[in-house]
Amino acid sequence: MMPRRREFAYWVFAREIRDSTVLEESNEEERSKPYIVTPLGSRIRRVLVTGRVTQKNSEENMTRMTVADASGNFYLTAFSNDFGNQGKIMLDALELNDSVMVMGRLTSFQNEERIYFNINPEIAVKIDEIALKYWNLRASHAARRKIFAIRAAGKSDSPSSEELMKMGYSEEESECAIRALKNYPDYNPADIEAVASGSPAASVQQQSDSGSKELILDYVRNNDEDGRGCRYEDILAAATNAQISQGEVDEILNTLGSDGEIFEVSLKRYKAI
Amino acid sequence: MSEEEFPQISDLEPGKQNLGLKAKIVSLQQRKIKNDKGETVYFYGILGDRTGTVSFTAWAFPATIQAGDVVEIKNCSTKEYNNVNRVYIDARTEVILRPGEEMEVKRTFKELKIKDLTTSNPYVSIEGRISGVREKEMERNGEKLQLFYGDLEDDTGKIRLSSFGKPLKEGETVRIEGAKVSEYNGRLRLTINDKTRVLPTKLPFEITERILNIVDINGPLGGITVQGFAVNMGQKSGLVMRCSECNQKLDDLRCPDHPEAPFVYDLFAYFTVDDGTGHLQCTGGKFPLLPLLGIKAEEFVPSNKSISRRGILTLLEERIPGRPFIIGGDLVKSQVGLSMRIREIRPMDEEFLKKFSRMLEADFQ
Repeated sequence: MMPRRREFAYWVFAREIRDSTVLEESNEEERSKPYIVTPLGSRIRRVLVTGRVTQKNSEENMTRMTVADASGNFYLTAFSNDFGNQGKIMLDALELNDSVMVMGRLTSFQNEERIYFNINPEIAVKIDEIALKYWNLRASHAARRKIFAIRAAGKSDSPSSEELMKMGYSEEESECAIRALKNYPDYNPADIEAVASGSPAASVQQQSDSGSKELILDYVRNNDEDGRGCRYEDILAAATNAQISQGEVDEILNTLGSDGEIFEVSLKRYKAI
Repeated sequence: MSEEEFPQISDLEPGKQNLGLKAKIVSLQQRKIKNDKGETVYFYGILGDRTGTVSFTAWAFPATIQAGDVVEIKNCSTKEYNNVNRVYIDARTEVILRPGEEMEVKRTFKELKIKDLTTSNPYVSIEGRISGVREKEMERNGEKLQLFYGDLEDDTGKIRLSSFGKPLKEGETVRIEGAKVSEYNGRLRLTINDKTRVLPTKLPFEITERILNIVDINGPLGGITVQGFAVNMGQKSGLVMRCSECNQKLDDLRCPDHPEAPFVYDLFAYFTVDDGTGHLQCTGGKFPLLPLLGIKAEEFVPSNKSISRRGILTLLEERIPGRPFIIGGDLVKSQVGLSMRIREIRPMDEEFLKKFSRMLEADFQ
């Protein structure tokens, strides 16, 4: 029997996951979870990420955690069952503000508006600043190489991975570039590139994210007019006025929910806790 | 076909069918492979004539023909495999012995770096520095021979080097013409024989730490460094007891062959390292791992009551999974693929990060 191929673990920034809108369904015989195709063309089922724990919610049967890197948030969930128990023990051992390394399976949940992503941790451990720096170096390098490959492919009339490999890109980078062009022809990777280049724009973005979060939380707190929860459409209108995009609104609502600041009382209605 | 009508080996191109050749069998070996249909034997080796040499593969080969014989080959074909042109001998091919005939063979050696060595290019020219030289006396066909062995390293890797008769000098930088590449116990090695030329030379490159991305690893290369997070640790990792007499691993504290001999401690750990480009299985023993656990060699003895199976396992679990490491060692090929035998392992540090950052940044210059 051939040894089973180990699933590749991608070192990616949260933003690359968050901006993903394409799921590649596996064939029925495989009955496995779909691959997530990201805007940089990575085809992901497993990730290896790092960041700081910004939120932790531990219950008897489940632990949820938010881990933030320089570009956004990863959401982690581990259950106390036969498959996830080790993951739950590892998450429970972590504390707020810990720097962590997490490797796990990336799962997705899709509704009419968007896809939400979650990591089921296989390993989650506290790390030091050097480990964090090391991961950032590697992940930044990988993201930048992929962005350069996408740009090179975009300049060609009939881009192919063979052509990109002749230019010095690896097989993986070349295939990602072709996949990215096919699935995300209009995607602008400037934000990911800013994070990967260590640009000050990345930290500015973080600060601006935190301002947007406060604004939306305040809006939910102060606009529950009929006691049935603040309506999503109203939140969106207020956010649009404040130059916050719908994607960011969804992300922030998701974060606020994970942080335990708000909850969805009924479909598209939010209440502050 | 007269002698002049046979194509010369130096003129052979890939993709030719129904070829006739006259050549000397320079080397002939066979290998068994197992697949869905059962076990199959195939033959491979090198053909040569006065213009050069070429590798061949044969699915059937006359048992009476040996290395050194001159043969006429009818209806063979050529094809490129792993960027090397090869002659293929199949069921339609006839291999006819030319008894008593002699043929001069021009040896052609491909100029290669250590990282590019494979057994499909068995005779090579290579430059590097000799290190770790040892010698021993051997007997072959009733004759006493001096065997010198050590390592040869260049800027891409390190390989085991053996020399029958010709002395190896520690630290010497050499050009070796006509060394033979072979595989033994999953590792590549180079052999110097009486036809190989060893010439002192000044190396046109510097030998420093050879840091590789896991994705770029494609063979059992020695003397390389990888970096990455250890993402798991094997369940059988831990403290090992060995017989002090025969070094055999002991399941209980008594060696079946040397029941009176005391046991000694050893350490074994295996784990997967992920560097973002791929993953690699690493295995290590007590020499590289004890410093990581903060245990001195002289403390790692059965008389030290603070050493226990549970204690060692806890230390390994605390110090390895989830941490980033810089790991130096040798790659070994087995049925499940390549793995690394660790020679040295250290936690990621600032100094390495600076060097690594410069390496990665060079990609964008």
